[in-house]
Amino acid sequence: MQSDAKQLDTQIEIVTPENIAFQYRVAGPFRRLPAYLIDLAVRAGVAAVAFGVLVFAFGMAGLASLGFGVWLTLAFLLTWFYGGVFETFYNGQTPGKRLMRIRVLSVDGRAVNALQATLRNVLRTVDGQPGLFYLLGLAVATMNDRFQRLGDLACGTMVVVEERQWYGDVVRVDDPRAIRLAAELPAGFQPSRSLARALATYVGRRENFSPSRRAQLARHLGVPLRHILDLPPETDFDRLLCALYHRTFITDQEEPPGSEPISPMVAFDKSAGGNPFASSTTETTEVVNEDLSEPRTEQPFGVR
Amino acid sequence: MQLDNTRIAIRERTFVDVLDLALRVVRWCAGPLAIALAAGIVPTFLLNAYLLSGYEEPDFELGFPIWYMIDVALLMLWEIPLATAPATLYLGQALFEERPSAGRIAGNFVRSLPQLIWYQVVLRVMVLFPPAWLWLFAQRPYLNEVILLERTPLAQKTPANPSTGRRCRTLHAGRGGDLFGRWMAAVTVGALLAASCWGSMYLGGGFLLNEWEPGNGWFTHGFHLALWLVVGLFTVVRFLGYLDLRIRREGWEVELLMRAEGARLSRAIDSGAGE
Repeated sequence: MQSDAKQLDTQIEIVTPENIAFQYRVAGPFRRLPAYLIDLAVRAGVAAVAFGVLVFAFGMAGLASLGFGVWLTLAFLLTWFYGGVFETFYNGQTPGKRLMRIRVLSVDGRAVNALQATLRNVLRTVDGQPGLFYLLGLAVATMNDRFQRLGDLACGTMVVVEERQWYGDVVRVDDPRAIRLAAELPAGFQPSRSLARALATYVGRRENFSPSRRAQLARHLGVPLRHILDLPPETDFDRLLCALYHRTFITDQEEPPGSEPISPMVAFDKSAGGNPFASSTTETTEVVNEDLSEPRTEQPFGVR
Repeated sequence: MQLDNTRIAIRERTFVDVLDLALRVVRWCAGPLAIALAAGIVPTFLLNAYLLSGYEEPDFELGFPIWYMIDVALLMLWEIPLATAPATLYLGQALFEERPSAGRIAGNFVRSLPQLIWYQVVLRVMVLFPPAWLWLFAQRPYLNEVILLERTPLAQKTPANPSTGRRCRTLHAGRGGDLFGRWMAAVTVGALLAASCWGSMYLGGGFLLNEWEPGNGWFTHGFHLALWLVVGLFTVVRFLGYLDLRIRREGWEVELLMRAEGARLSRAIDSGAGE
């Protein structure tokens, strides 16, 4: 969506020391909760198995107390260093984080070092206050843009979501009628940037909608475009948007790059291409105004 | 109002992403949101305190006052839609406008009140069966948003202007499994958060006042407050979930973009015609 002011989102941009910008989606407390619970279960499982093995093995040798002491040491190490060791040697991930596809990074986008990984996990105890209810950590994470808890703030770290984004090719328009219509559109018409964005969004998503929904959506742009392009009243709006998209993103890309796209009203030069759809029936001003008036009603949540 | 310039980034999100974004929204508009929530919740809080004042003191001395807590939860199930209506209206305006108008929020609330009372109060009283209310929460979670934000009529006037009931059916149809899964996740997270708030109040009282015996106030007002705090957060979650459902189901983000661009073109036509 277009934005003048900064929009609220869970996405942030990081500029690395090499001056390379990356966009990450930061993982908030609720995305991190399942990873934490998985790690808690792993730790509890390892501690339980170790307890059985150590107490049994040392017990057989008549050294049950020593076995219990070794187990306490292991439990201590698991409690305080499980996260730190994994995040240091596993590139910012524990088993839980790996399963949930999240990763700890420095705020400048680099991998965390051993000190950062260890300290942020040790400081989890502070974030868990009061008691182990984690309200302090939740409140602190809410108060900053990177969802950093106290441990993260102290170590300059944050948790990001590992996303695999697939950038596909430009969507192709298969309908031959739309391609024919594209060839017949006035050559002087060049969509503005915002119109091109709207066309790309519509064509990229239209496969997900039913034909009636497509008609509803396409009407918002189709009505004024039909007027601008002097198209006949029976023009199918969905096909018109596909044709314009095809002209803008497929046909025009094959031609030598021209000037910066400008406003459709300025760019449209009727003498350049004429209107192949000119109808003998002149659309009255009243009808045009009636059609155009509808999209202006400002009820953003209304069903159309 | 510029439809493609929303204050919250409009795109499809997973449920955990919605929960995280809700925290960001709460931080962004904490003051006005707290006022809108208080406008609905404070009267309800006082009403509940009055309705439940009949509980005898000894009830609490017997141990954990489970029946009191069940009664509070049942009352709240009934009251949540009305109590959170002002906050929903505020969020709806704040999504598009920098300065939402309290007058318009109040006006829209008054206009929607008959439908809210019919769907969320009268029908629930007629169906005196709380599991049916739960079905409403799990399968028609965005009824409030349809009434308050879409302002659909009680009875259908034209096919293009469906009634609230019909619109609600269309919006939620075919999404039963997904909605139920989200509802279960919301109930689990909500219960954990409420327990966390309530426990923190106990520990906070203990640390600050050195009073480690939970008093009646902790069971009554403390429990109430913890639940309403979570309801406040989940009002934002529900609003964002509603947007997400409209994006997934109807391509609402495309619609906003098309309507905004259509309006721009229409203005250009008008200014061209005027010259």
